[in-house]
Amino acid sequence: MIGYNQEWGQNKFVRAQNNTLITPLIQDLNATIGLQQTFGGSNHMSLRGAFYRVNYIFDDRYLIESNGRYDGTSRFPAEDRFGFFPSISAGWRISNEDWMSGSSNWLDELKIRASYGTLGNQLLGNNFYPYIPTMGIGQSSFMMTAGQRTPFVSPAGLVSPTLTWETVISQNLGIDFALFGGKLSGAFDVFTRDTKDMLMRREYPSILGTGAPQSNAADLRTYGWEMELTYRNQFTSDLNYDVTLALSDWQSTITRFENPSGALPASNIYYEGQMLNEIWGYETVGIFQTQEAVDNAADQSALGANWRPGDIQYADLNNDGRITPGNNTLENPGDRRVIGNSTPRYSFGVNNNLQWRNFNLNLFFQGVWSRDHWPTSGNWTWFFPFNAGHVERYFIEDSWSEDNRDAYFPHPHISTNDKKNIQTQSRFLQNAGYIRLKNVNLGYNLPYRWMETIGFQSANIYFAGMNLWEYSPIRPPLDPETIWAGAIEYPMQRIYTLGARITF
Amino acid sequence: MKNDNIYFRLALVSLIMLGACNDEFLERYPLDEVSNETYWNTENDLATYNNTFYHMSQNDVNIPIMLGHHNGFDSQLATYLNVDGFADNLAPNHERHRPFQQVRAGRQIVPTTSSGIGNQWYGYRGWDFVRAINIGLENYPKAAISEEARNKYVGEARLFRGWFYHHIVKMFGDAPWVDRELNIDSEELFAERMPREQVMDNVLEDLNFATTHIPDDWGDGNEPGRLNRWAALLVKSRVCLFEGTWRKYHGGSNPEMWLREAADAAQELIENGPYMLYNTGDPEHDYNAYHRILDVSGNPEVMVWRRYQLGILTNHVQNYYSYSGGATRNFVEDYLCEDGLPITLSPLYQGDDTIEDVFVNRDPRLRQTILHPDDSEYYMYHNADGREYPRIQGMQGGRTSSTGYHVIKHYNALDMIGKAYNTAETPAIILRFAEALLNFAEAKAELGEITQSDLDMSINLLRDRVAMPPLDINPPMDPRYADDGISSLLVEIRRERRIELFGEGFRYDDLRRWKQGKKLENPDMGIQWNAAAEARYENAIIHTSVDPENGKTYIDVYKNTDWADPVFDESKDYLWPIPLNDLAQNPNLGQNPGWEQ
Repeated sequence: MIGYNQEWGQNKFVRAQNNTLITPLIQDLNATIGLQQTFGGSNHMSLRGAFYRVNYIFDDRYLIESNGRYDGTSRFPAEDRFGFFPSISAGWRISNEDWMSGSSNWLDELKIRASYGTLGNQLLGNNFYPYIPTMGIGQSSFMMTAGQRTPFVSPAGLVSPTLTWETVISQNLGIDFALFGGKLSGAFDVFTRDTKDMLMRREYPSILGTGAPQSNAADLRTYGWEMELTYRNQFTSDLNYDVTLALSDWQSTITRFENPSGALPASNIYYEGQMLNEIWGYETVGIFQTQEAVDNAADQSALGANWRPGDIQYADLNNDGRITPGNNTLENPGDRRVIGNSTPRYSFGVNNNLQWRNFNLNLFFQGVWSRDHWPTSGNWTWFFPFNAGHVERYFIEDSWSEDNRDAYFPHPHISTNDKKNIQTQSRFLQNAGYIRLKNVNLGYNLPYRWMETIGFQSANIYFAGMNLWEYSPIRPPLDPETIWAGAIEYPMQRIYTLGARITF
Repeated sequence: MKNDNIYFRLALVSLIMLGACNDEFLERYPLDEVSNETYWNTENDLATYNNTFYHMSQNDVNIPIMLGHHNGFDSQLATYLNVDGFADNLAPNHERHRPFQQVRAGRQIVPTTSSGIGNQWYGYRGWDFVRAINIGLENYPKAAISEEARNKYVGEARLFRGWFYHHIVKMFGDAPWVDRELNIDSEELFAERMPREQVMDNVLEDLNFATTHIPDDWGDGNEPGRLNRWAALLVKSRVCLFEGTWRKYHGGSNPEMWLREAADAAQELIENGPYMLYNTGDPEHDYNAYHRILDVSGNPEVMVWRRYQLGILTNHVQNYYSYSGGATRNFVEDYLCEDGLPITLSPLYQGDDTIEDVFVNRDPRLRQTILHPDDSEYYMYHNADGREYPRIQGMQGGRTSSTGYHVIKHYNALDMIGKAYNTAETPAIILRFAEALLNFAEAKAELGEITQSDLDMSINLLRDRVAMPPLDINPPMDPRYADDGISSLLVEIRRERRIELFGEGFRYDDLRRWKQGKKLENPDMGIQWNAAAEARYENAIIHTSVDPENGKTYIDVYKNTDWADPVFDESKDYLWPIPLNDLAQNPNLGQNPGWEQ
């Protein structure tokens, strides 16, 4: 199959505004006093491309398929506008080979697959002309005359003249199998995904004076595997059971990024060889118990003032007698090192179905084996005491005092601006691994012969529950699934449902 | 066979279309924006472009040179009213004023970045402003207009650039000088900093161009209008005075040239400019009256100000001002007595056993700066709540202070009562004529050539407004300053500056350029805390210390806090640290002395 497509988008808006109504009863621009303002804008973009798909199956043994797109976008300059993104996949159903016939009594299916694919990404959001510098136009609230905004035209930003498609190259090798009359089936895949020419704004020294242009600044390699195993069996005519286990794992590293000074990772700063999501921080020795201990420890004045018993003691990793963030470079990270990584490792899901006579039971568990989490130390967040604007019992019970020297948290410091004790550090790093019973469903189908008599086609009574149980080593009140927003979230709810479903 | 034919035709059509595909259908240019190539034509284009500088400068968080009151939440910190919190005039006790407290106590830490109000506000940032200026300067020549017309805007841009670089130099010393638009491959990105004196030579060139090419009057009504030549002269006198005294006291080449430039610029403004002190002949109120109103247009003393108006630009600064704690005892004691003598010499001084005593026979500016208990009604303090003032931290209700000395210099209850969050319109007085008088006198005195008539045309105008006796060329030495190594006249000129410009953001910079950072090792104290005070300010939660000089007890604002026992390390604290991220990305910047880690 081949095809052709063309897209054209245009957006235009006009807006008028005034803040003061003469009377709230009449809501019209005409009935306002004060400063009337109008705004407008328009933009457009276009895309043009061709695509094909070819597939071929020989004798139900050899399968081959190829897709491809050749696309051009108005968002890139003419020379770099087009990209070709082919993909190809092949499969070999070994179990259908003649020479496998000897195993057909236990082996239902065996298939190996391989694929290589590319995908292009030009999604830059509202950045419609990333290679064309334009000046901003605005109405400033800086008044030169009373009641009048001041019109201004601001300088054009920087653009990259060589912008082109971000390409994702996926390679996959997999095996599918089914055994023992379908009782055991599964699939296993290993994959790599290379993101080449990632579209991003690299960070430059601030003296540049503007946001860096969009550029194809980084390459990223993700590698991992996933597997799925299903076991199903009918034990008696009344009893069916099946269970599916899904398990996967991946990690990413930066394979290209220009960072000549070796600046430590930050937003839009990476270094080659960096494991994505690594967490840099201090190593915690413990909590100072005596003034003597403070006096004998490394000087921590680069992190804050007035250290005293009850404060955190950091480890002097570089043995210079001071605790510092160094130059914030790989060469001199001060007393910091990689203390963890927030990439989830070994994500899994287990789905159980049990059917006995008219009853059925479904249990679905989901989880992550391990994942490091640094609780946000920002204001109005959970976890660190006295950051949240409210006081919880555990703040008091778990904060250091002379009578509570084994406390988890340092002594109370009722200031949301003092972060000296809650620098990113090993002591408070959390393991956000978890297992959670996401879904339970217990149902009962009322026997058909009862239904018949009262004129129903079928009736089903069920009990369903969501998030009924979990286990996680993370400290409460954090929840391993809601922490990633970085703010106090409405807690995850346990939901119980009792219901009946009737069909007439 | 037939199918093949169809596919073949389709493929052919596709190929033809793709062949023509890189055509204008995919050429999409912006519809609602202008481009640099077509913009620069008329004088109005230049003026509209330069409006960007004013627009950017109202961002007091990032570009704190024309410092006003930042809009909204950030007006809690980013306003000139608070800047004295870096020094010994104000004793902020609210934890949101930590950036001031840290610097005040000599416990600043090297920040990761300079951003927002929490991370080194007033610091290493604002480069977008320099970029905007440089892009303007590169493009003005494109307009086919007269040299004279163009140079007005060149001058305006260079005034902003010089002013901004002065700010960077005064905080960091050596500075990365940039005078063109940079791109991601520019070598300046990874260059070393330019030595301070070289940067300041460039700054002086910018300011000289500005003071010779910007018009005296833009014909725009001055309400507040664009920066005129007189404003440029005042900025120049400020910058040159800073640099001249810095070089004189910290060491540096040719301080006299800078002091001379400062004196000349101020003199030209004083003698030829249209400005004068605001004076209605009411010495009890004139000094602070115009700091406490919403519209200062037409005021002859106000040279540059920022207007706030509901619906366009507003602030919340009057409400947030309580964060600044209160004025310090050290500051209050600097006011002269009515006879023109310091409290250490004057027989008129009544001591400080009660707060009322402090005000007796003092420079009338004291009672226009600090709240006298009897003035609560006059100032509607606080929001006319009918309570007794002062109130000390810990007392319930009303507005409390950290020291007992509530600041009322710019207090305006009418801009708070009945007004919701961020709807207030307190204007920002950015440049006022009084500073020119002070700059002139100080520069002349530093040059060692000041005369009585110089004093009469400067300091004594300020004295006259508040009915204080004139400053004599040979004043008696205040024993408190006898060891400062400067003349008694300079002591009085500096005192005058501290008194007159209180709460306008000068004190911290002044102490640094005078190399008097050691004065910041004196802890910030408040009112005397005797048995009467204890009874009068029931429930106050404060710490006290005994003043060894007179054996009396005073509020010690920062005792038992992280900011107790302030230090000032002269080998490092005169300059601020370069943020770590800037150093990490360009190690060639180099850290300032003493801040390396």
